[in-house]
Amino acid sequence: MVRKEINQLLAILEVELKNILRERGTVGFSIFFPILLSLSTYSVGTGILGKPPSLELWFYQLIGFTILMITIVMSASSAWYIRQGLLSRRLEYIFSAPVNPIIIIASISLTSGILGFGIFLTVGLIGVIVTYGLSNLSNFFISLLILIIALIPILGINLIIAAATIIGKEPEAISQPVSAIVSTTSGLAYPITILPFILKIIGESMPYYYAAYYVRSIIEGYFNILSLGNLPFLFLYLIFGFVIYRYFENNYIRKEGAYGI
Amino acid sequence: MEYKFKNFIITKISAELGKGLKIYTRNKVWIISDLISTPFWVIFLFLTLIFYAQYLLNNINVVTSLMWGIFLFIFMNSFMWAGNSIVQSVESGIIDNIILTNTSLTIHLLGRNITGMIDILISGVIALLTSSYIFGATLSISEPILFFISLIIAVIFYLLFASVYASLIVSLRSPWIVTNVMNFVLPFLSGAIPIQLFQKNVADIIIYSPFYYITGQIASAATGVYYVDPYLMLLISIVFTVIMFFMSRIAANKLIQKFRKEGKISLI
Repeated sequence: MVRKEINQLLAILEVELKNILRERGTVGFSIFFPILLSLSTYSVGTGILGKPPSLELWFYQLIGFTILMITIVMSASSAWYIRQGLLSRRLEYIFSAPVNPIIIIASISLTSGILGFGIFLTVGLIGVIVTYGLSNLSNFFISLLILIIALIPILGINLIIAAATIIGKEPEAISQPVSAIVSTTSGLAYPITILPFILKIIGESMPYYYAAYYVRSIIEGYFNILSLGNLPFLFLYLIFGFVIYRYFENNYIRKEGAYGI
Repeated sequence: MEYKFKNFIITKISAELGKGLKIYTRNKVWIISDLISTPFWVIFLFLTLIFYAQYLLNNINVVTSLMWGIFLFIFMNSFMWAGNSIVQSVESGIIDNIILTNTSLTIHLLGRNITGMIDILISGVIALLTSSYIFGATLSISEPILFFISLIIAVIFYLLFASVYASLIVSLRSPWIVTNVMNFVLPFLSGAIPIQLFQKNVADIIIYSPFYYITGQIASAATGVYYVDPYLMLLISIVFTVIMFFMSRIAANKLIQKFRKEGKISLI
């Protein structure tokens, strides 16, 4: 029974990974973009200050932009999966097949997670070596494990985006505000202490802030185990996201009779 | 004969404008999405740019300069994506009809540019209001007449630039990557981020960029800080716009020649 489901998961994962590998330009850009963005702001910083700022500050933004890129890839891929599925009617036969919807969603999320992991591994490795040399490499590899755990609650938000795409039908129009709110409030490119109070609260209540905080603190060596106390609460996003997704999915099928537009 | 020609051009322009407006008003979810996203993106850009010198957040002149920088970032971004929209025209086969009907690339891109200008207007106003409300930037324009003249010149310049850019990227397999890179590189080189924010040696380099006389002029008129004489700047911007007009003609002719020679417009 479990073996059948694992096979189904692996089969969908294989198809989705092949799709990603076909889009080499997108993958290359996802790796290049955080570096470009951090170097652009570093140049502005150099121009304003009249001397190159500390490399640690560059690294701070590099890690933030990389996590931002991962979250954008993850949220956009959930939205696009639903949209393309609706357009091609693929979703209709996938969900009517004897495959558990959780297996399908898990494999899609796993695919974007693997891509995100690859982006972080490449960009983070460059950043750590440039900033700290080889001394912090072991910390970096530990941070990879924590990042994987910290990204799991984000899947819950992706499920909410997927549910919204079933209704709103425009994947980018739905994922864009989420990316904007996440980018602004999660302390990815700057510390959230400089944000207005309300935005700071929004940032602290979402999992993205913690993902960036855990990764930076582990790499830079000031990680406190007590800070992981927030992690179990963040998993509520996963449960919440799943409930919302299932509600809207069932509601859509009940009203429309089928998936598709 | 001349009357017929003018009528022909006006029909083409109005068709492109009609198409642009239709596409814009059709996607209401996009309008709502932009209204929600823009204030957040403005705060994000603002704080990201000032990250290395956070103490400057208390300086009203710096904050106001950055506000105009973000306005111009939105402005330039919109035209770059309009140039990039050539890819959709190629993919959907529209471009073959455009070339066969002897329509200029600049006119064809007008449809996309009109939606871009509506976006600039809405997002630009949101950007200014957000910067003023959150960061305390001053909304007053130092030289209003020069500001609007330079804005009109910049719109004409970037309309033409979008068509040159479109003809350069049309053969690329992933033009959106180039557009994304250009969207970050160009504002830094064009004085979109007002050069008074930089050290003098950096500002001295930026004034050699031709784009500075188009984009930087708007920032200077808004903030009242000029590195080059305002009237000289205005004159140079007109000269560059005329040059860009001829460049857009040359680029369009080259594209048509390529099309006729190869029988296809691109590799896509």
